[in-house]
Amino acid sequence: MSKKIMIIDDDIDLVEAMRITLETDNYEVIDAQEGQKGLEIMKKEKPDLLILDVMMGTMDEGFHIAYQIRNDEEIKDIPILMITAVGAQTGFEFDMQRDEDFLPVNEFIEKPVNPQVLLNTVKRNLPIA
Amino acid sequence: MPKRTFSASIKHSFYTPNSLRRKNLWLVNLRWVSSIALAIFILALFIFKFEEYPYFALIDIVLILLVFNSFLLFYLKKRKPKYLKTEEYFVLAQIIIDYVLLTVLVHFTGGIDSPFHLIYLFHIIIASVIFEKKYQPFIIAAVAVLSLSMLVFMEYVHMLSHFSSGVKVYNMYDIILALSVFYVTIFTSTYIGVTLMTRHKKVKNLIFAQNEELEKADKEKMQFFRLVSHELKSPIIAVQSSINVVLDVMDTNLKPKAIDMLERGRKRTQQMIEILKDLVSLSYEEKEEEHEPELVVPCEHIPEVIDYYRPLAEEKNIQLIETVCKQRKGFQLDKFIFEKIITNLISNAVRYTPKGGKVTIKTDLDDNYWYLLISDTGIGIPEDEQGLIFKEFYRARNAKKFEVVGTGLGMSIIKKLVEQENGEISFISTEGQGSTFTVRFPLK
Repeated sequence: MSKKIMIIDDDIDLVEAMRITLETDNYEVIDAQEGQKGLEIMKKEKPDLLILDVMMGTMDEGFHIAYQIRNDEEIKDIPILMITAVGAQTGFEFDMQRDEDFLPVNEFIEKPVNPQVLLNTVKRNLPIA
Repeated sequence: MPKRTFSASIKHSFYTPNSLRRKNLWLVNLRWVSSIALAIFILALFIFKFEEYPYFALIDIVLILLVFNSFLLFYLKKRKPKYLKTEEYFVLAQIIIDYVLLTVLVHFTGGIDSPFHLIYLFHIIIASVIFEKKYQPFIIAAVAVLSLSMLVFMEYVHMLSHFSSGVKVYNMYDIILALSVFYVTIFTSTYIGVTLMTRHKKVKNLIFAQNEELEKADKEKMQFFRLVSHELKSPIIAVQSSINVVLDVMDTNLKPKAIDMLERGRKRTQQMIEILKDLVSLSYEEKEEEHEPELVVPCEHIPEVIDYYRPLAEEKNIQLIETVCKQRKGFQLDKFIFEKIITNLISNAVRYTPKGGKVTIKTDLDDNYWYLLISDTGIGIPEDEQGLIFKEFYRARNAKKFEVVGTGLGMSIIKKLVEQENGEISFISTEGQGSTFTVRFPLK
């Protein structure tokens, strides 16, 4: 059975680009353009991994969604990849080791997402089962 | 953007307790000088045998002045300035005591004939400079006028004796004329002093207000800058992601020419993304972020950065040489900024060095500084453009030709970061042969 990947991002063009990329590796892709709706779908569909945009609507909506997921018994173990346009250049760098407790996500990917990087990162973070 | 009107509506107290304390100390210093001047005057009276004057009374005045001044200095030095009001009272106290002593001095040196009554004017000027309210200097002026008038009246009715070297006969009309001139002089001076100071304070308040407005405007500009950069980034990222999918993922049968065109598109969008990143970065550098310096051992970070650039260097067949970084001495720096500085410098060196070249990273240490030297055999910086490379958005002619992508922000960002950490950056360069950038940070 193919792994199911959920994308929450308000930029449908980016969602489309990632969907095509992921589908070439035979992943099943579902998506939502908005955080709360995404959470509902997640609970229903139980994807194997979530790709989450850090900045929808507000500067940090993605973080709030991630917190909600981590506090929800049903879905708290789903790995989260956070895509971000705020990278090293903005002075806003996230130090994974230091912020492990603070940032409830598994890994960051910087936009624009290189297809190969996306596939590798997804593969690396999928639970082995 | 809203039109900015500069108003002086924001009230700034003209003085702070500290600045008024300095004025108080200044008055104390002036009093030392006037005590000495008075002592010399008494000495001259003695030498030239003006025997009508009571030397001992005059000497007493000098002594009282000196004692009072010493106490004042002692007190001002001991207590830290805290309240504006207290400092104002100090000024007032100094003026009142001066006036009492001055009136006594005027009495012993001839009353209405004494040349010393001009000294009342000094305090009027001081009062109009220091007091916030317009009526306050006029009160001082009134005190001056009353003191002298009382003295002259008491001498005239012989309640006090009159000491004078000149005419002993007292003429009422002369007295009235002399006092009138004194009144006019005092009040006119007060009026002029107050008027000038009011204007001066107004101008200063206006400058304060304008400064505040400008700072606010600058902050808003930066926020706007940041917002725009983020907004512009989203569509361009979507464009690039779409191109990436077509070129890297989809199994299409595009003609080579079509692939080439898409590649060009990808390169240009990359260029745009780099520019936007730099812009965002620049707008963040503008604001003074609080960062905590920690003990950084530079030689622990440099190898990491070099390893990061090794693949790129190998691709271009560039030798990355690290002359062994051994210093284990650390110094206070913001680690994040330090890494950003070396990353930017090494990446620049690799980017602007043609295939088969060399990039050398060296560190050095002396008593006061830690040095980082990054040399390349790159394209160099034309001599006539060497003064410009730290300017924002500036790219050297040959750099543009060599590497299409680039914003001209890199060096200005590096310079800003280095200076933020109290470091200095310099370079020597020969066009076509290479450059050496030297960064140094103080060890303390």
